[in-house]
Amino acid sequence: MKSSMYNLFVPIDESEYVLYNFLNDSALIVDEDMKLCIEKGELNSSISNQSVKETLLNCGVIVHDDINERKLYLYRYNIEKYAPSYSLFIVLTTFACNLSCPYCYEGSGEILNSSMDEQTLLKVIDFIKKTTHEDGTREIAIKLYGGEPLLCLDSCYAISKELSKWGDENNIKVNIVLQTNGTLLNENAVRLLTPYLAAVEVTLDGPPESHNKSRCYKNGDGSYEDILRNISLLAGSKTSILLRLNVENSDGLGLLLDNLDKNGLKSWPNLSFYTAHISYYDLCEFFTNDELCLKDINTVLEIRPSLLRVIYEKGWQSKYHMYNMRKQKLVSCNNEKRGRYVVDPLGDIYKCVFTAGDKAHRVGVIKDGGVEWNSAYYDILTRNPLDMEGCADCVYLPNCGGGCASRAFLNKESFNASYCGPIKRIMSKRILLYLKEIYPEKFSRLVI
Amino acid sequence: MKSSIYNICIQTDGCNSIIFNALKGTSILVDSEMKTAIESNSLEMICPEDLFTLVDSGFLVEDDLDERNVYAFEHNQNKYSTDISSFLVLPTLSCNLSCPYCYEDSLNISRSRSMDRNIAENVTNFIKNQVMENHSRSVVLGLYGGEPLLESDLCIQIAESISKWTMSRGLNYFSALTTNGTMLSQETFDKLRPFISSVHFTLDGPEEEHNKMRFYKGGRGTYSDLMKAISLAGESNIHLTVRIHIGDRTGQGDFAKVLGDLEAIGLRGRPRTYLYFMPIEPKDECFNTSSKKSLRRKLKNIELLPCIWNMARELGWGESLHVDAGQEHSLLPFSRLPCGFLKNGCYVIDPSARLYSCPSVAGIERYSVGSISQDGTAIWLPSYYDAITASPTDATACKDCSHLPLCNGGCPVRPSSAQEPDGCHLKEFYNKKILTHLAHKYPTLIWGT
Ligand code: SF4
Ligand code: SF4
Ligand code: SF4
Ligand code: SF4
Repeated sequence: MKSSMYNLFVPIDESEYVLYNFLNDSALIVDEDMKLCIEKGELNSSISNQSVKETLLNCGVIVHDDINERKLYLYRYNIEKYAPSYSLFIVLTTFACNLSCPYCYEGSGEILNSSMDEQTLLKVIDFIKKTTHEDGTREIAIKLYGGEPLLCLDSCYAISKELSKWGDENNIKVNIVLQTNGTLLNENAVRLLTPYLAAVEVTLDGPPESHNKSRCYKNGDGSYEDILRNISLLAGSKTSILLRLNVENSDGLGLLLDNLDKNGLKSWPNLSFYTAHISYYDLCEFFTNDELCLKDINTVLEIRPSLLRVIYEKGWQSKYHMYNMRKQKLVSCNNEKRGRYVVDPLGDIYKCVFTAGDKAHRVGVIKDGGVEWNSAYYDILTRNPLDMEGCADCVYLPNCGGGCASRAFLNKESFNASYCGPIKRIMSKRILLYLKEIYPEKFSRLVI
Repeated sequence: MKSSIYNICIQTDGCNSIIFNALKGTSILVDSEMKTAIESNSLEMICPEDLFTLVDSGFLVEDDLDERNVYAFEHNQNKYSTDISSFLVLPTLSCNLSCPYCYEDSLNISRSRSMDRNIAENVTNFIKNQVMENHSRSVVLGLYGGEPLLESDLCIQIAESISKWTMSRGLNYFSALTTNGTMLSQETFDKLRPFISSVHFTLDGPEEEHNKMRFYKGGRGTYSDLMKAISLAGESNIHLTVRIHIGDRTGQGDFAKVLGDLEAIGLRGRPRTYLYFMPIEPKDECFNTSSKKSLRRKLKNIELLPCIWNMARELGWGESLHVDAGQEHSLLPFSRLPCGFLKNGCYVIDPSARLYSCPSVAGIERYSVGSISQDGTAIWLPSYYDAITASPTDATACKDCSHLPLCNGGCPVRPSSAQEPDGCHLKEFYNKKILTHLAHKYPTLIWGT
């Protein structure tokens, strides 16, 4: 027997620790003696109680001598990376946008503003079909994205219609999601698209006043009322409405939910929502900078209990998609896996939506005869954390996967490099908050 | 632009050479000037038109492309993707024959073990669980042994259950029975037929040869019984595969005789009939690819194949041969895995529900890499993780080898040929394959010695 490489001890008071095993996703409470014993690997001499030993073994805290846990990790990592259960195509029909949100990473469609032309559109549809066959997946998700995708309603319609038909013919499940700012979702768009759409995803930036300050038209007018009116066209339809509610704190969320209630949204059977808190609302937290990212993740963790309280108090819990704090991250990001593609209006392919348009991050180009992958594609896909600086010996590896590849590229000019970001500074807190959430009595005195 | 690291250059005569790109499977005939230009990366000597062709076919690649990553990607994709899950089930290790070359014998497998019905139930549950977990679109079931038809009820039980289940889920299903043919009665075949897609038979050459190799325990040869079985199966529309062994003494005339016998039972021109020729390998061939002696024999056998193919084609068997590059039994199958068995989503299951990474050791407990539990899930041993995550791209000798995309580093569970003190023999083996393949495909080209 030996101790696992992936044990982390998080102190909860003077004498006790939470022992979390990252590879096995298990948690135990241990005292100082046990901690020392496990840390020193003095397992046979010090742990005589057979049932204790068994528990430790079941939790993966101690492991058999002949197992190489790195290989076990790598095996799971590769399966997750190379055997995706579905293929995802995020299609940017245009970079242009009719709003000008101050935080927009795409520059509100003013820096890049091209839209997909008809020829490219056909090639993209073809690419999706061929690639799905190559991926061998039974299910695909297509996300219509932008800019504001509805500025190119024709493209959205062509993609949705053609690929739905193709999915039916080929026994492939096609889920199409429209990610829109909601302002252009008029009757015509709804009529054309809803037969094909699994869901429409719309963002609200807090209660009306704050939303109207940040999500405004180019002339400065707010968009809240328009969005609510437009999505009401979908109320009760087959297409789900997924709201992303950006919130600063529980008060803001409370006000927003009240307003939605007043407008009748609570009774829409096809509506659900999730909450987000990010300084740059349209960016992935890992793509900003380490300090902001740390601050954002901290805030998300800290406001979570109070958000939950408000949601339950106001009776919205059945519509709430709770962020899963427990998720293991064998691979650092969903985008890093095989079968994940972001296609921009020019027919260029990227792995991450936040790098779309920046040619240094481009991984392939859709040509007439098919797609041409470049070195970035292979570099990202063959990224192996066990070969990257620090990761092979890092206790956090099964929950980090070596960090964001795009950030690694920006910082170290190589996709095959690690990027810790704030992972090491946030993990203990996340574990404790999670435990406190599911075992409130046990951890009631714990201040995090 | 730079030259691909996977260009293999083979001199054909005094002034010409073949360059074969192992990653793309492309080949080109070049003169010595072009050869030097490509080999020494002196691309300024090449005219734009030629340059375009060379890039297009993968002989030259972009400067920033690390082709090792391209290979590693394809290797991993092949190894870990599970759009197909395949299960090779051995319902029994027993056999009613005693073929002298059978590896199961040489490995001292106790020859009486069969699967009991409960284990068969666990195995079918395991298959279903695993297919779901793998998100596969297709399921391949192989019934193998020993002689699986010694346990024909088990074969039916398993195949029926999986076949119906895949149908109800809208999954593709393909199943193959590998049998020595001696136990395939009409009744057994009729019961199995609805649940299997294909039967695999093996012939050891013409009647006399075959009977010397494949006989009942008393010594009587099996050729005529086997022909009856093939004919019986052939009357249905099932997919048929006939593997014909090339022995040391089998000559052209012998193959003509075998094909004549197959024609007599109506196989020539029969749709869904697939024929391939394989040298008889010694008992432990896979294990010994590295020895010089084995290499010499292999080289000889490779030369034989095109003659046999041509003859078969002339006799009207062209449609049943699938020997183009990229096809499974061609000289250049272009797989990115050294062995189709050590792959995520591929499971070799013995009668005790133990799991193996290779059929040639199935049944020998010390080689098992895991087992199927009562609740139908796999419990892997540490050795499995070591074996499956091992990649030839990590092996010092193989990682920069120009032949890597063809050879893939050799048998993943045996010591690699690359470690031989006098260098890796397998390169020569693959060069021979390339040349033989090209000579067969382009017979009008003028070849040197
Ligand atoms: S690749 Fe990086 S920036 Fe892009 S979504 Fe993933 S973690 Fe975020
Ligand atoms: S990126 Fe950093 S935190 Fe993540 S596994 Fe590697 S060393 Fe650990
Ligand atoms: S085993 Fe030999 S031929 Fe094969 S990749 Fe390794 S060095 Fe090359
Ligand atoms: S693992 Fe594959 S190559 Fe190796 S002995 Fe088994 S079948 Fe042959």
